[in-house]
Amino acid sequence: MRLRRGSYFPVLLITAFALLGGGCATNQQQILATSQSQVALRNIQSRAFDTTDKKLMLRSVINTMQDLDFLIQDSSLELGTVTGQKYSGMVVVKMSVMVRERNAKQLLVRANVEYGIKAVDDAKTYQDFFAALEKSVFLTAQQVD
Amino acid sequence: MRLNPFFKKLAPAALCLCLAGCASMPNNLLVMPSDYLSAREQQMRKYATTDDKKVIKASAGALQDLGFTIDKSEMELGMVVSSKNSTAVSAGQVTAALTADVACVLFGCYTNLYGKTDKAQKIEASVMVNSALAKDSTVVRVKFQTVVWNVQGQVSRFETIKDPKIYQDFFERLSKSIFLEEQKI
Repeated sequence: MRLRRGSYFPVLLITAFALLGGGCATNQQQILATSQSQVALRNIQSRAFDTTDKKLMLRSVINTMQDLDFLIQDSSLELGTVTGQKYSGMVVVKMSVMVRERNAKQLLVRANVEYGIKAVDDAKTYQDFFAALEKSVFLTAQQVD
Repeated sequence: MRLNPFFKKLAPAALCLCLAGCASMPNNLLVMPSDYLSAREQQMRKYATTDDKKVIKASAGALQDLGFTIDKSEMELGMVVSSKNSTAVSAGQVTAALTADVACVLFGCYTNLYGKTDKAQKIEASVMVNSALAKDSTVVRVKFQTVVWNVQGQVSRFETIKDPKIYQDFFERLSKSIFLEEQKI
């Protein structure tokens, strides 16, 4: 009996620690984890528009988000952000948009969406948003590289 | 073994159901809904003034009239976000659930339908005031969303409120509120 216990304990201990450590590591890593490369994600989520009117652009973003059934929860002209949420069945969809100057002639609009506890990184969803935004501002959304 | 062809047919169907269950995100998440124009009609009103600050203040006043507390506001973009907590208990729903629970006990089983009935809700209202949408007037757009909890304290549903009466009620208050602002009462 003594021999058996002796041989089991170290294995058990290591497994337990591995499980514990593994659990901690994944939780911590989630904070900075993204599923795509940063550049690819930025391309999917951003478009440039030929205008410098930040306020009008933010108003258009707000209008578009409201048409898409979002309730605007926060906005700031100074920072250039709009945050909203909508419900898709039992899931909460959160979206934030940031507008900033790209150069002397252009504004950069970046959107990011969260579906429940999952960050949305699929290109089509963002294309749909920018297509709707284009119509609202009567400007062409340009791919950024 | 005789069942084999039947199972062969069933397997893809079962797999489809499984995948449908797993494929969580709808692919039309940010596609403009077909009814967006009627939603605009319900949620938007135009007021014949260019003084958007006055309309923002009046909107906050109207929300307070309806029992909402202001959570956040921003003057530059014309935003007022507010919320209120209220009961979601419906006598009909409770009666039906209790009747079903009692009937079940009589037949020797146990259900807790009462625990699933609505208890409380949090209503969120967001007003955006926009003077750039129309010439010589200010456009107000409001949206209401609610989260409902059941007796057991679980979220029973999320909802965007579509009831036209609630929107009409708000705009009536707002009209009065704008008038009161004009009269400085």
